[in-house]
Amino acid sequence: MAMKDIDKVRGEVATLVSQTVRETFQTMFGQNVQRHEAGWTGGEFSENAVYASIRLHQGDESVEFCFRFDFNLLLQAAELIFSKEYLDATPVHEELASEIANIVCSKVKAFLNEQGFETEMGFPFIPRPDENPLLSSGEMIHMHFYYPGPGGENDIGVSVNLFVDGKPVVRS
Amino acid sequence: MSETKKEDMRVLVVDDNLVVRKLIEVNLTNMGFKTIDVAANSQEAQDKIEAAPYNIVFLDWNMPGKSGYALMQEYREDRKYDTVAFVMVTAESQERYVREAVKAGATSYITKPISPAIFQDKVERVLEWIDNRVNQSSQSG
Repeated sequence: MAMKDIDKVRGEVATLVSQTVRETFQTMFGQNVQRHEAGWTGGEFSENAVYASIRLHQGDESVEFCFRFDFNLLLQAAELIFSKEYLDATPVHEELASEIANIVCSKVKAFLNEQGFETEMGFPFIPRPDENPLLSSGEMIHMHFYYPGPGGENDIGVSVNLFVDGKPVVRS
Repeated sequence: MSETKKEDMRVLVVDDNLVVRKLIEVNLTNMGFKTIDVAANSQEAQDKIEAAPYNIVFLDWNMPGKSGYALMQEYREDRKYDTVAFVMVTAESQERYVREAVKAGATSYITKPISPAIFQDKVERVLEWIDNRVNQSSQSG
């Protein structure tokens, strides 16, 4: 199967991503993150977003997952495992974002390979500030997850986008 | 229940991700472990393992550079590390990976996202494995 054939299983991939994002936040941090299905009327996404991306590749083809996390959601998670003093001295948000992206994409890779793909997964990376993967064309999946934000209202906590990369495959 | 005292055990956590290292460290501390070292890559892990022996080594399967899997294979070929428990930690949950890890000598296998309850249960089993290995080793030696 070619990578573009992921489009044929996009519904299953979206369901798996949704399950894994929710499970990861719940299991690791006890946080309740829910998928936004339609008609979003909650708060705005924080300007302080944290990005993490991962490429799945098969031969010379690749697709890229891009995750955007609300800074405050990651801060809530980080505060459960790191002291305030540590967090003041050490930025951990990108590490946290990378790990969540890694877990989600590992599940997707396993699913795709069970369907007949032969994908390999690269290591998580932080996209450059001048890249805006969430606005890329050719997207296959685009979803939002919300969480109880610091103001008590639902805020968008996570956005996930899957698109055909088109970039040269860089094997790690 | 294992006879092994957790506070006497030396544990090394190897993962390139700071958050995973800390999560495992927190879980181990909550269980009563006192001596927990960390390493961010295989080279750092090798330096620490060869400087002073550990009872349990948690290894990230996939890391940039030498993987945790490759590192475990190397140590499993050396009888000196027969009583050391190697626990593979990975987001890979496919059954074939579990089989592959066990076949290569992994004592246990923990999948991410790490659940504290499952983590503690697996570590208790690892302690029993260490008891058995140490007993076997002392009987044969």
